[in-house]
Amino acid sequence: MLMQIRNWATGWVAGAIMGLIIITFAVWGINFADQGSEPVVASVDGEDIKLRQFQQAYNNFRDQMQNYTGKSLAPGEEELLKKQTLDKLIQDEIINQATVDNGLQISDAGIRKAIENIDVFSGENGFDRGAYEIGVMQMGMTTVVFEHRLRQELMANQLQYAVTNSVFVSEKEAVWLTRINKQTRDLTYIILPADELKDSIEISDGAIEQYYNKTSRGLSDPEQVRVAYLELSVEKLAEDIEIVEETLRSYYDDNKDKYDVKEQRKVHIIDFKLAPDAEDKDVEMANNKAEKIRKLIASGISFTEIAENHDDGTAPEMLVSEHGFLVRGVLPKEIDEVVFSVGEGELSEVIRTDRGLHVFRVDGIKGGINNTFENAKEEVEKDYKRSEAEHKYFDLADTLVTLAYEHADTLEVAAEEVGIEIQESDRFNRDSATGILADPKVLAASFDKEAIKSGENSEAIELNNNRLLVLQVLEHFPAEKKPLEAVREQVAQILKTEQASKMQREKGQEILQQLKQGSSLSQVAEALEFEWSQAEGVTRDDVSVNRRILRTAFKLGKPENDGPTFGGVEIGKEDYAVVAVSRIEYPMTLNDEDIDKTKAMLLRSKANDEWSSVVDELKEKASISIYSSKL
Amino acid sequence: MEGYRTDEEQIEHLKKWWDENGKSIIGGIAIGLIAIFGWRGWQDHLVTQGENASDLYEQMTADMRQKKETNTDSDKGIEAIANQLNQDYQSTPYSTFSSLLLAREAVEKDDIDAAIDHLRWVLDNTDSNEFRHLARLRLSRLLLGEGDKDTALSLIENVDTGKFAASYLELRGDILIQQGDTKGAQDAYIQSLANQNSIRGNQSVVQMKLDDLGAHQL
Repeated sequence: MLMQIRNWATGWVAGAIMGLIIITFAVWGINFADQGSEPVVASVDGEDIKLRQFQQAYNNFRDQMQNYTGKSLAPGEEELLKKQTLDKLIQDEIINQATVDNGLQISDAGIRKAIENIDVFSGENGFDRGAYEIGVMQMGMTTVVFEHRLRQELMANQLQYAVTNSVFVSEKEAVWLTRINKQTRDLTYIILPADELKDSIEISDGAIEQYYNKTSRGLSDPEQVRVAYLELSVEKLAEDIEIVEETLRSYYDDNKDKYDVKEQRKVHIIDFKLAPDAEDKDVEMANNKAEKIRKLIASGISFTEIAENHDDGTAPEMLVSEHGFLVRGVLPKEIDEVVFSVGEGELSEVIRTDRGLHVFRVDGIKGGINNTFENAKEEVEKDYKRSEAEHKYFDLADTLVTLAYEHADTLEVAAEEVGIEIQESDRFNRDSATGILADPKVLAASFDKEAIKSGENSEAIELNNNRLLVLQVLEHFPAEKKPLEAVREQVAQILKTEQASKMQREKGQEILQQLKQGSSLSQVAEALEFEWSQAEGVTRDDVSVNRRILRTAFKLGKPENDGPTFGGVEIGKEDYAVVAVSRIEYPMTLNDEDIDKTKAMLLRSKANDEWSSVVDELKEKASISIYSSKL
Repeated sequence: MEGYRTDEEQIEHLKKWWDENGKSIIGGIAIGLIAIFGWRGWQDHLVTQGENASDLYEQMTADMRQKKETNTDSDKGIEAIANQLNQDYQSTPYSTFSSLLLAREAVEKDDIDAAIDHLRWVLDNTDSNEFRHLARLRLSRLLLGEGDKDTALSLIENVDTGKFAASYLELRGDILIQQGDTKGAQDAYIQSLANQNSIRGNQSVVQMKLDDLGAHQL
């Protein structure tokens, strides 16, 4: 082999091969690194979407949904959400690839600027590198990964901005649509309600029996079950955690950072203005005034009272101020030091700074010396119980799952070992379940065919807020048809409505037929003995006319010289209506506000449309494989 | 292949081989290296071009946002950046983006001719299939607004409309109405509704236009 190459490799061939090899390594590098065998859920044009990535996104979506609805997802909803999550990831990947294919770039300066503009990364003096690094770490990423993702996102934004913000709507287009939208129509209509005829209809016993024999829907009591279940929850475990003050104290000491509040003080200050180079005479005067005021406060007079009634107007000028809880460093340094060294309720001596004289009283202290176990006890107790309960929960959950599985025909073994009581429900159906039994996952397990047949324990069902439930179906009551006598009247009503509805529909069609043959509106009304309703100049959103009639009316063509346009429509499941349009009027003048509204609406819908067309087009061209078995 | 009897002979042979082929090999390496550095240099150049254009584009969009927020009329800065993108960074996608944005600015100022120029530029110059669709649709609509129905229609005929079909068909309907072909417009709108994409915000607008023509006798 080598020999062959050597013989072969003469002249320009040798050079060319050398050159090729060098180019190959230089451009693509030597990449022997293991690419990893992480499971992949989909691939888009060769780029993989990893299972881990999918799970992370899915968990985020699910948590959002559950926080929003306050319930855990039903199995069907989980499937749907999984599909939506994957669609979203695929779409993101497609857009990312499109930005690269299109040659979009973000410079390092651009990235830096974007990061510096993210609020959570800024400290007191703008961007804080430390906060950034910690923040990124908390998201479970390295800064390299974060910056890579940010870059992708910025590019995707550039692309989307170019599509959606370059959309325009010309004045003409907006005016045209506003005119169409704001047109009014004159309607003539009749609603033919089934109720009107119902009472005059007789239903034979034979018809009722026939219907009863054919139908079970709506005539049955729903399927019911009675279940026993074990519920393990952190919340309940926490209630039983016993506490010893000593343990709490050491828990507090271990987690002191969490309970400590930065020291803050509430303070009243009275300033007496005095220049730093004031003459002795002025200083003495100021001192006298300050001491006098100080005594008044010491005698129990409030600061408000002082400000309002006890300033005799003599020099120096006096100013009373109240400050909410302040952290260190807000007040001038000399005052700050004293404020943070005196006790609560203590009145200071008269202090001199270069601004003048000051007297103050500390009225409240948060944190600092108040960062004590006693003050935090309630919270500490709650946290401690919760954390102990969580430990216990995970141990017990394990036991519960194992024992409920090993002793599948009874909950008692598990109950005894774990130390929780078996609870038994009353009969319930899918709609009447309450509390924890109404959770979609629990319902699914309660009415599971296998579980009902075998009477064995269900699998452990994980619910939100750290709850675990295992149930056993005790009794099952299949859906059962009610006896004929109990539903005779109900069936009669159903059949009456059916017939009445059919008759009204036929009448409506007869009206339409006559109109088509050229009878006028009034002729038809006379012949078929009914009265038309009139509505003139109605708009698309008129509330005085039934919605279905209105929508139908605005779909009918324009009336010409040979009479109105007309059509029929079903209203609800039972009633029927006929509507005729005799006149259309477009607004003579349009107001600017309406035109602007149309314009804004069109801009929005065009932006949506065009962006989704761009995405769909990209998707169409991409080759996408989904390995749904991995989900 | 004959074997070599001694080391000397083998060395001799190698030397001979080198004398014959050495120059080619060195030349080959040189060509390889030049190709590498040339290629890398070209890539670097493209990246730098792209990044500069990207920075300019960011600046331009930021200015546009600010203009909208503060409601000022001064778009000198915006235009200057856009011109720079169009002249110096024609090979980057950002020239397409800025032209599309400028077309919108022009329409807002009622300078339809300028808007038409920008869109034509995109139509003729962009490498992106999707942006060509956008430019074509918008251009045709502007021409229709200017009364040039025939050009507007010819522009969108014989186009592979792909996932933009619904928009093309809607526009076709709008043009046909102006040309007095109500039946044709109805058909176009009905087809547009049948070709809706995944998320269509425009559906109700097309439906309204269709309803106004009285498409159905119920």
